[in-house]
Parts: sequence; C-alpha cells; structure tokens
Amino acid sequence: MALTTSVPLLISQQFDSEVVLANYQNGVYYNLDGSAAQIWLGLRANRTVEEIANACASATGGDAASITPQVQAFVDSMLAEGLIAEGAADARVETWTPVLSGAFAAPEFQRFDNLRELLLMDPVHDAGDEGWPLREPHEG
Amino acid sequence: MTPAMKAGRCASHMKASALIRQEIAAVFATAAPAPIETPARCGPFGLRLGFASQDLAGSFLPAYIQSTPDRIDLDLRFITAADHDLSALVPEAAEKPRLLIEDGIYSVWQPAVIPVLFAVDLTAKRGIAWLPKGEAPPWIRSRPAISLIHAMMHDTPWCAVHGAAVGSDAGFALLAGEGHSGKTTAALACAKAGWRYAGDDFVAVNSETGRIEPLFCSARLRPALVETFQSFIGATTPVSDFNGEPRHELSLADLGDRIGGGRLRATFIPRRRGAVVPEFAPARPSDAFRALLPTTAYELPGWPNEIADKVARIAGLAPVFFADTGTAPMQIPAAFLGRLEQL
Repeated sequence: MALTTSVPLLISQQFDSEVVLANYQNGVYYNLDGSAAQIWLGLRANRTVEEIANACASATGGDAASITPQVQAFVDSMLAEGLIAEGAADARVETWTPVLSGAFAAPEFQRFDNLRELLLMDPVHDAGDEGWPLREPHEG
Repeated sequence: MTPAMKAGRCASHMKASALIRQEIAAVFATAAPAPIETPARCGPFGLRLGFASQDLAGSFLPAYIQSTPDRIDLDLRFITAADHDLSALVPEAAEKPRLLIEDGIYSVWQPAVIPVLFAVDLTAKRGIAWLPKGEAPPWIRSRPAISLIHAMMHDTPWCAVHGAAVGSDAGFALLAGEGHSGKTTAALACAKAGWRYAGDDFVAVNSETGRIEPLFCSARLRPALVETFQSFIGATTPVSDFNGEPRHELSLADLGDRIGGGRLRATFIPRRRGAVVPEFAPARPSDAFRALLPTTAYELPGWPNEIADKVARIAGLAPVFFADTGTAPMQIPAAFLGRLEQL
C-alpha cells in the first residue's frame, strides 16, 4: 500500500523539526514534533515504515524491532485522521535522515480543533473549486 | 428585456469569467461617474473608490485610509441592485458560497444572510462590490472588499494576514491570535499611547521584507472596552450586531499620519492567562503560524497553499512571544515597548 503526504485540502508547513498540518475542510490543525514529525517527513521522502523505523533506531540507538510497531501504529493513526492518504507515493528523496536526539519517544500529534466555530461563522470558507455555474436565463 | 436577461442570454454561451468581465466593464462604462469618488490606499495599493450613493459611502468609506496614492492600482465601485442589475452573475444554487479564479477574473459570491458579490478584473484593474440588498454584513463594513485586495496580492510577496499591528520607534509588533485573544485591546491601547496604528483585524505584510502596511483604519470595539477607549468613539460611530454581540465600528481616520506602517520587529500572540501585568513567554514560529493562518485562510478565498507559504515566511521573520496582556490595557504599550527594545 503506497502512502502519500499530499492530501487534498491539507496544508503542511515545516518549521525546523516541527511540522504543522492544517485541514482546510474541517478547520483542525495538527502539530507534529519529535519522532512524529520525523515519521511524517520520512513518508514525504517516500520511505517505508520499516525504513523509517530503522533510520529512527539508528538515530537514537534504539531497537528497530520495538520501534517498528510504534511507527506503524502512528502511521495508522495519521491515516485514520486524514493526515496522510493511500495513493501515489511522494517523490523519493535520495538522502533522508531523521533528526532526533535522545531515546526514541513514542510519536504523537497535538490536535487543535478550536477553529471549528470559525468555520461555522464564516460564510466563504468552503467556497470550493466547483466553478461558477451560471443560471439558465428565464424570461418572465 | 432587462440587462440581466440580456446578460443571461449570453451567459449560456460564455464562460463565467467572460460574463463577469463583461459586466464589470459595463459598470464602468456607465457615462456618469460614481456620485462619490475618492482616492485611498490599502496596503501597498492605491485605490480609486466609487460609491453609487451617499449611503454606500457612509457604510464603507470610514474604514478606508483616504489619501492620494502615487498610482491607482484598482478602480473599485460599490454598487447595489438598484444601480446595476448583476443578477445574471449570481451562480446557480445561490445559497452556496462560490469562488472563481479564471482568466484574470477573481470573484467571490458570499450568500449568507446579506449577500455580497465581489469581483475584480485583474487585467483591467477594475473591481466591484455588488450588494443586491443594498447593505452588507457588519464584518464586511470594517474591511470592505478585502478579498479583492487578497486577489491583487497573488504573485506578490504581500499577504493580508489576520492580525493587528502597531509600531513604535523600536519597530512594529504584529499581534496574532483568534477573536477575543486581545488583539484589539492591545492595538488600541498602543494607538491611544501615541503609537502608529496599522489595523486591529487584517494588515498587509510583505513576506520577504517584513514591511507592514495598514489596509484599513477601522477597529471593532466590544462593549467591555468602551470605557477605556471612549476617546476613539465619535458621535456618529455605528454599533453593529455581531452574532448577537454589539460592536462599535470605529474609524480611526483622525489618527492622521499615525495610520501607517513600518518594519516587523516581533510577533506577539496575545492570550489571557490571568497575569495582572503584561507578561511575555518565548514562542515558536509554528505558534505564530497557527495563530495567523486560520482566519487568514478562511476569510480570504483562493490560493490556500500560497497563503500558507507566505504566512509561514512571515511567522519566521521576527522573534515570537506569547503575551499575556494583563488586566490594565494602558499598561500594554510600555510592556510592548520594553520587549521590542530588548530585541
């Protein structure tokens, strides 16, 4: 199963070792730091779960066998949350190394959903790209 | 046959952008000039504003910075259904908001309770704000046609961002945060203390240079702040209903030359955590990004990835701090100045 970090209506921005994801459809924001950000960046570099787990193990001196299921579980949770999707994988980046220090910490994302209210208030946010269907003229 | 029917007859054969371009041209082809015309500046742009009636000018003009710019980047007309029948442009399923970006035309249909159509021909540098019911929602009166300014910023480093901005000799502070976070309180306190004022809601920021420019000279005051900022409330300041909460719709035009911009020195994220006197805590660019982006993106339709890229750059241009603004608004200017001078 190929995974992609390119998800429609999901904006991503990297700030050093952090990744912020913003879902424009439901107004939920996510903050990924530490191992969570590195796993997302690994997927964006088109690495498999095993490759990411092995790289994280090397970077932290951890045990790949114990890290792999944590990476897999986090990938599953991102998939369920719509932060990644099944589809054509992102372009493979030749050199990718996770930036981690200390022992491998279980990955998790912070979820900010206090913006839903804004979505309900604002009349334009869901202006989609379905075009501008002109009405048929009617002569009364 | 009404003009709308004529336009409608053509509509079935035309792309929406072509019809919108045609109708914008028709508005400007009217022999008589708009009864009220005035130049203004809005961010980095010079505008020539035209209002079809005194009522329209009374609704929207107080928010604009009236001055004579070096050049006119946009000719913008505010019109109603009584002035021009543009009903042929109202899209199918009119209850849904629409966005069109096509062939140099940017157009937004905001149905809501009081519908508004904004459209700009970016090639001809002409735009319209069409108010079918003759009036506009209050939040549009405080930042009129901002979506068209957003469209003009496409392919430039400029970005209209949801934030307040005030400046001292130590530089400008960009105040980023959601509603009720304290942006307006801090910005008006600084304005009252003699700072330069660039806005309490949306300001223009150059994402490459950090230059800040005001878009409007408006502010929206909650009842709890009326006493502190009584001096900004004029005899004719309208009070609007914002989701059941009253808002004084201020025009700060009397600040004169103090309506202005400058260079971004710090981004403050106001928050209320119970401090009595203003307190600062270091924050990260990602915090500024999360504080700036949501309302910016939701209220300015189109090019979401470009907006996010610009906001991310702006978030990284200057040091970021959380600012617990305390319980006494007039202590904020000195606290902000102290923090800016330490940078």
